[in-house]
Amino acid sequence: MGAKRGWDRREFLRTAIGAATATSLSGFLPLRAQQLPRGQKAVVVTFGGGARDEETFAPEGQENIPHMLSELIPQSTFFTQVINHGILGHYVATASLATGAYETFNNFAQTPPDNPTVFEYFRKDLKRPAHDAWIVAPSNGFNRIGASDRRGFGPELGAEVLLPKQLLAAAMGGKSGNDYEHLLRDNYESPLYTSAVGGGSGSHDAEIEKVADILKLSVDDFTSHARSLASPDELSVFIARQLMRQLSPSLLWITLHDIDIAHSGAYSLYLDGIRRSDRLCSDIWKAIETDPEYKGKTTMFILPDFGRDSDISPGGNGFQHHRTGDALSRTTWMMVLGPGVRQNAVVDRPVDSLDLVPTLGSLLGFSPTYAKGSPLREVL
Amino acid sequence: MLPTQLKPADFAAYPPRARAFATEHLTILQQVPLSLLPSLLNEVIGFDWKLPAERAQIDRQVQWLGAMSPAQLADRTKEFAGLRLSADLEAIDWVNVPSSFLEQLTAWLWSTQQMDAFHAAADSYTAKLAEAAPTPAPAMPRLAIVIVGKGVEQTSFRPFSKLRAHGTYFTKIKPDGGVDAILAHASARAQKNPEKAAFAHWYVDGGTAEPTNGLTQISYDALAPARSALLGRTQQTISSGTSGPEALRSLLAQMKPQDVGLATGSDREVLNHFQLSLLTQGSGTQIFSTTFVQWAGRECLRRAQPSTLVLRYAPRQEQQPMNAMLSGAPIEGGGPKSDPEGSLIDADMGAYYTWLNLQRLPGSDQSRFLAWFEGHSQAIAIGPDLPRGTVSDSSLNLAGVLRLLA
Repeated sequence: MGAKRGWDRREFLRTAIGAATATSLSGFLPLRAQQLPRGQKAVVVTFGGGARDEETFAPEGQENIPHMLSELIPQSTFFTQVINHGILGHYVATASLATGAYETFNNFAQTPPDNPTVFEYFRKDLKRPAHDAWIVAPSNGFNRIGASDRRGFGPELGAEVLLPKQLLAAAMGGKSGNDYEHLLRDNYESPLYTSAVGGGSGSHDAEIEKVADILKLSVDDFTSHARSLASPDELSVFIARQLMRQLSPSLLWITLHDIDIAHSGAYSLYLDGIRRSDRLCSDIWKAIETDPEYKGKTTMFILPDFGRDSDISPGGNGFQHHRTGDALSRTTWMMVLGPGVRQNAVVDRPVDSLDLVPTLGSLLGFSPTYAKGSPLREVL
Repeated sequence: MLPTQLKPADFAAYPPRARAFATEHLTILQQVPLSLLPSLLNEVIGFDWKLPAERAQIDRQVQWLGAMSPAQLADRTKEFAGLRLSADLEAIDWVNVPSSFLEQLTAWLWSTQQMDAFHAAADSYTAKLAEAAPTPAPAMPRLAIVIVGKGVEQTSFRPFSKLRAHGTYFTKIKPDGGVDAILAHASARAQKNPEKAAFAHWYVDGGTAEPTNGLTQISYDALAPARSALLGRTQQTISSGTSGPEALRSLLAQMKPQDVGLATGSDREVLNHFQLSLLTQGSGTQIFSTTFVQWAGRECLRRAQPSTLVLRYAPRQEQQPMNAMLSGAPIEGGGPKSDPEGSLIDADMGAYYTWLNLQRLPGSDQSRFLAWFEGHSQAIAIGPDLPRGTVSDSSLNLAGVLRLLA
């Protein structure tokens, strides 16, 4: 089934954009592994939380992703089969993507990953300062994703984790705000459970103020802009762009999550989430291409953390969840864009979602010792 | 505790019929592996309030297991027995709270990468059961009717695109009196065989239900007080700050109809347990009427295996901040706004899922299906005598289409 899906995607892409097939070029040499350009940067965007082929790259879903199809794919190497063999919960799966090892902790627990994260490897091996690695994450549940508690690694080597909703809640200062509440949606995975999105207390508030200061965001500017945004993911991208402008981090990880409204069972809202994510991915790439600190030296990776259940799996309820562990819920894609990355190319061989971290390691020049995947030669 | 250690007293807290059933079949239950038994007990513990089709299914399964020698039973369940469990799981009170065990088992299977093996074991077991003790075919060919799009006046959306290949797509339906004709047709089916009609003919409405005769009826509006009570308890639990999503799910699983104001001890007891389960086990059914109708249809087909099912969608509330949707409070004055266009898209997918679920039931080769865009001229009819992938511009009313499906 997975192989068929990969074939379908490959055929579609060839037809649509005349893409070359990278698999037939398996002997090609690394383009730049020998000599890394100075100032190399990477941006990872998780196209979350989880989208299926039917609503994206299959013929009936293509209308939902016009930006990726017309703008990004022609510039990218596209992996048609990225398999996630791990736990299909958003926090634990995203943590697995970030460590390159399948994490096994409780998805709903606020716990750090067991294995070192890509941010720790990056900062430790390359001796990078704290402000050079950032995560923009969707909800409180992700606030421990920046670092493991592995000996020799840990928070002092991790990424700064920014939770835009928490920042907004702090900026609102506890005032009720109908103008902003649509940006504070949290935890679709269990729709009835909505953890409080608050600024927290004491030292956490101070931390948020510090972040706001770093981002050079006045409360008025921030809240004024937030009012014009339509969703939590738009808020995340707004914050990410602010980070890029102010700090130009070399490693930036943006976790989109609007799509996960699918758990509420409303198909139209799930499609809205996909269309918004498609647009936001394009916006992020445009931001990269127009920022002198990023243009020409940034590789962007876009991939869902996993898919969603198939319509035909009797144990599930179609698009609504990702509980069955069927092939569709485990098989996704990845798009890689940037200098030296072959454009308009399709890689049809199955790869593992754990391959992301070793690929980043080869690209940026660090050694992810505990990661289990393999570097993706097609983009190195 | 392990299944081999089970004794009659362990079922003392079960409701009367469930206790009698478990005690009668104790020697069989003792032989079922721990990775499977709580799933079975999760059904048995609710035996007193199960729908007739569910009771028959539990009974068939236990009779099947009971007809085997111990060696045969061990062979039929060996894939489950091969799963690795933890001592923590054995320590759970899986007899009295099987749902808690299943929550923990799920997390354990994911974390130990045994979920695929569990699914394979379940598929294998279910296939053997279906082969050895098949569910009987329905007394009459099943009919499912889905009415979508209420409240939509004009749209560019093309309905039923996923269904068209399977039946005849009508483009010139005369919509007047359509809902009445459909409900009258469903009621007439129920009247044909009234002595066997208990929970065999259903009508679920995403708004306020129309009056009907002989149909088991559920509506989103009628459940408003129960939904409100449920969301109130949910908010209370969350704001206490003592529990996370999993604990909340367990709490919901253990709720009783009277906890949300649904009567017990009446002739509606079975139905009220079913309705409560729609709200406590369905994700999003509490906040979106479209999700409620889709999930109710799925559960109705899976659990009641009805002869007739009518689902009528109504506009759901517009997406709001989750807190506002949970509390039922409007984001601004004037009450929650509705989203008819989005609801049409939700319902269109729901219609497709209803058809898929209909195909999973015995007698599917004879089942009939109709989906209609309420107030409009488009409908799709699927049945053994109707051509597939065909477009018809015949000018028919709904009664005429139903005659084609008869």
